[in-house]
Amino acid sequence: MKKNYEDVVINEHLSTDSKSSGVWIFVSIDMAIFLLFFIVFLSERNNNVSLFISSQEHLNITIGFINTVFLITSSWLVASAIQSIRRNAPHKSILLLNLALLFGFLFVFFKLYEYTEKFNAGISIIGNYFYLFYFLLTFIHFAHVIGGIVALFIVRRNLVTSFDEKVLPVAEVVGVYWHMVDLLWIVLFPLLYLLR
Amino acid sequence: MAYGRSSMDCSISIVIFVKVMVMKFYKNIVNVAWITLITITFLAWLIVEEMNLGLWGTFAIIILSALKVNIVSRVFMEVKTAALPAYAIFFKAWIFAVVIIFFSFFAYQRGL
Repeated sequence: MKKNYEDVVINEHLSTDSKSSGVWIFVSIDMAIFLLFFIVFLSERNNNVSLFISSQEHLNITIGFINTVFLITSSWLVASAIQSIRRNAPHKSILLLNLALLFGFLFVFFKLYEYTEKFNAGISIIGNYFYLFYFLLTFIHFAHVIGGIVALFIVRRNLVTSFDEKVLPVAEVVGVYWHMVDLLWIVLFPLLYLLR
Repeated sequence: MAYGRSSMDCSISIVIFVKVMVMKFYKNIVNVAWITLITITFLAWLIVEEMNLGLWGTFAIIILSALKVNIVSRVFMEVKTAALPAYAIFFKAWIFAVVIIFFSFFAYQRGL
């Protein structure tokens, strides 16, 4: 019996490791793809510097700044929630995850507001090369945020229904994904909004 | 005074409570990272909005962005402790590549 129990423990450990390894592979590939996007953006920008700078002036830096603060805060709340799970404090971790979700939703709201503002001003993805990159990069990132919000909801549901040893590995995996979303925005924000 | 405590005692205990809470907050590296990230973001925004984005302004934004990426990956993602060494190397290479992209952007802009 003892041997079987050890097997179970080893198998559980292996499955946790493979889950964790899986998310690191996914995150690495995703970040590598975004790196290629950044290089292509840079190359196209160097061919049309004046067009990119004049188009960039139509972007709302304040909304970009507010969204950066929202994502950083959400990422901090997720990191704090994971710390609370490690300290066996389910109620605190649920509260922190709720707040993280709130900031995630605020990011979505402000991003949609920014898109609406652009569409109302007659700016679209087919406007020029800069807007093509702007909409493409921010929309792919936006889709990642939506995916992250769904994943955070799953962690929250797991915490509410049963607080056991399986919660932490899932929360850590989702946390790594959510921090990657934050990381990509931290690069996108100066690249699209700030550097001129 | 009815309970043997003056309003002065009460305000001192509030001050001590706040001080303890602040010390507890700053003891956690995740909280320090968050405060640093928010400050850096605000500084970058201030440079662009309030100052002329000249040579040093652009340079400062590149450095601040690289610092932010580094803090998020090391503290929030816990790359150093949670990931295998191979992923930690990948993250370092990724951050390095992003910095190179920023600087080449900067160099082209300045005609270097």
